[in-house]
Amino acid sequence: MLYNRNNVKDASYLNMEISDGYGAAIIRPILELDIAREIDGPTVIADEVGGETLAINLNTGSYFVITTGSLAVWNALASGVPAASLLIDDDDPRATGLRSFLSQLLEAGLLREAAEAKAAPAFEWSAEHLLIEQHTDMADLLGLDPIHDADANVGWPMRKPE
Amino acid sequence: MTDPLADWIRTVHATLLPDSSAARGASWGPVRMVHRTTRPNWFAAIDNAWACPSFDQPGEEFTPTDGSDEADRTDRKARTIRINVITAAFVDIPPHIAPPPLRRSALGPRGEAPIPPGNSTRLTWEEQGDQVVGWDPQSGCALLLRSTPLNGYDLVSPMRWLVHWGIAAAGGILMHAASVGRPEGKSVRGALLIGEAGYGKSTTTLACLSRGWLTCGDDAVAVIQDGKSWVAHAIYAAVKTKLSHPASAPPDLPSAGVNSVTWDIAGTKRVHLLSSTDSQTLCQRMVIDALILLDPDADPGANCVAATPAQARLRATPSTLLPLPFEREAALQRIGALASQVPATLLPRRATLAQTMIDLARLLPGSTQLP
Repeated sequence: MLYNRNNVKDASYLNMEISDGYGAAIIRPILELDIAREIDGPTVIADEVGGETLAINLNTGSYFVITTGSLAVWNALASGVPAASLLIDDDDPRATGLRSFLSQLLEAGLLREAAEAKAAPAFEWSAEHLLIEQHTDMADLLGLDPIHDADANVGWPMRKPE
Repeated sequence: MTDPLADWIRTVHATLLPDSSAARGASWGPVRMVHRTTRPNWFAAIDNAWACPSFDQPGEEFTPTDGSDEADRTDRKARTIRINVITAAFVDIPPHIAPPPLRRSALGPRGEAPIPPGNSTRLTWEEQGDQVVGWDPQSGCALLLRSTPLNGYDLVSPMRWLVHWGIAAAGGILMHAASVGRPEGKSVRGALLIGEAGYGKSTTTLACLSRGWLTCGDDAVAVIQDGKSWVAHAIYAAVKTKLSHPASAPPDLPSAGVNSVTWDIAGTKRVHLLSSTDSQTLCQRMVIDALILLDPDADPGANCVAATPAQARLRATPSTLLPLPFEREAALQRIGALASQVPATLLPRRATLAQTMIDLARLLPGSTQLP
C-alpha cells in the first residue's frame, strides 16, 4: 500500500523509504515488523469486555475500540509478539493489512517498544477484520494542561520560610 | 518504604489539628469522611452538599443508615475507609513547615504527584484550581488546602478527588452518572442513567423526582459491588440542570413539585439541592438493576434496544475516567465488570419526559405500575 505524506500524521516512528523512480514523491512507510511492543502504560490503559478492548490514551484523551476481529492480533502485538511473527512468510498477503493496523496503533500512541519479544500464539486471523475505532470527543475533557501550561515560575502557594 | 509525601501530609495535618474545629463530615458507603477546618467561614458551606452528612464525634464508629442487617453492618464496619480531612488556607501552614517534596515538572496533567511504586499516597496540586488535595491512606490523614474560599461547582460537589480516592480504596468507582429508582421493601432499586454532559441525565432525574421516584445522586455516584449486586451510594445532594432556552427544554420539564432549594451558577447551571433527611427525593443507597444509556442521537420514536456490555462500557467510561487523577486503570476494569453484570439498554431522547418515564418504568425489573 502506498501512503501519501499527507496521510501520515506523525511519521517519527516509521522508517521511510522514498521512491523517485517515476519522479513523484511517493513515500512508503516501512514499519519495523520485527520489533516487539507492549502497551505504553501508564499513559495508556486498556481492558477487554465482551470481546472488545477499550484502550485509552490518557495523555490525549483519545480512546479506541479494538473490535472483536482485531482482538487476537491486538493481544499479541500488545504483549510483545513482533508483528512479523504473525505472518507466515514474506509473501503473506495479510502483511499490508497488518502493517496498516500496526501503523494506526502506533499513531494512536498505544504501543511502545518492549524489552523482550514473546513467541506468537497459534491463532487464525484475517487482515480484512483488523479494525480500530478512534474516538476523540472526550479529548477536550482534558483541556489545557493545568500544570504545565501554567506559569513555570509560580511556586508552592504558601509562605516561604522566614 | 518511606514516602516523603505521606510524611508531609501527616506533618501538616498534625500541625493544623490544634487550630481546627470539628465540622460535619460525610459517609459514602463504606467510606467515612471526618471533617475539621481551620476556616469555618470558608469551608462550612461544604456541609450543605453532602447527601449523607455526619458529625465528627470522637470514638464514633461508622454505622450504615440503610436498614441493612447486623451481619452486613459488621462486615461494613470492618472495611470502612477513613478520611480525616482538614480544610485550611495555605497561609494557615506555619512557616517552619517546608513545602512538600514536589517538582512541578513531575506533576501529571491533573496535578498528580508521582507516587513511588508500593506507596498509596495521593496528592494533586491544581494550580488553576488553586488547590492542593492529599490523602495518606495509611494514617487516614487528608488535606484540602486553598488560597481562596470555595465557590460555584466546588460548593455543590466538593472534595471530589477525596471522594474518588476513598471510593476507589473501597473497591468502587466514582461514576459520572445519575441514578433513579423506587423503594422495594427495605431497599431502593433503580438504574444508573449514563451519558455525556448534555444528554439529559439531570433532566430525567428531576422528572423522576417530580413523579415520586428517588435519586441516589446526580452527576457523581459512588458504585460499589456488594456480593452479587452493584450498589450506588449517594455522595452529593444536588441535581444540576442546564439553564437553557425554554424552547429547547422538554415541554413537561417539572418546574415545581420537587422538594428542593434552587439557585443558579454563573448563568449556566441551575442547582437543585435536595433534602438529605426527608427521604422524599434522596436515598443513600440504591441497588442497581439496570444501566440506561441515554441516546440523544437516536430516532425519538425508536424502540429501546438492549446494549452489549462493550457498548455500555464505552458509554460509561471516558467521561467517568478521563477527568480523574489516579486509580484510572482500576476504574476502567470496574466499569467493565459493572457493564458485564448489569443489563444495559439504549434509551432514545423522547419528545416528552412522560414518554421517557414510561420507558424507565418498563425497563426496571419488578416495575408493574406506570408512573
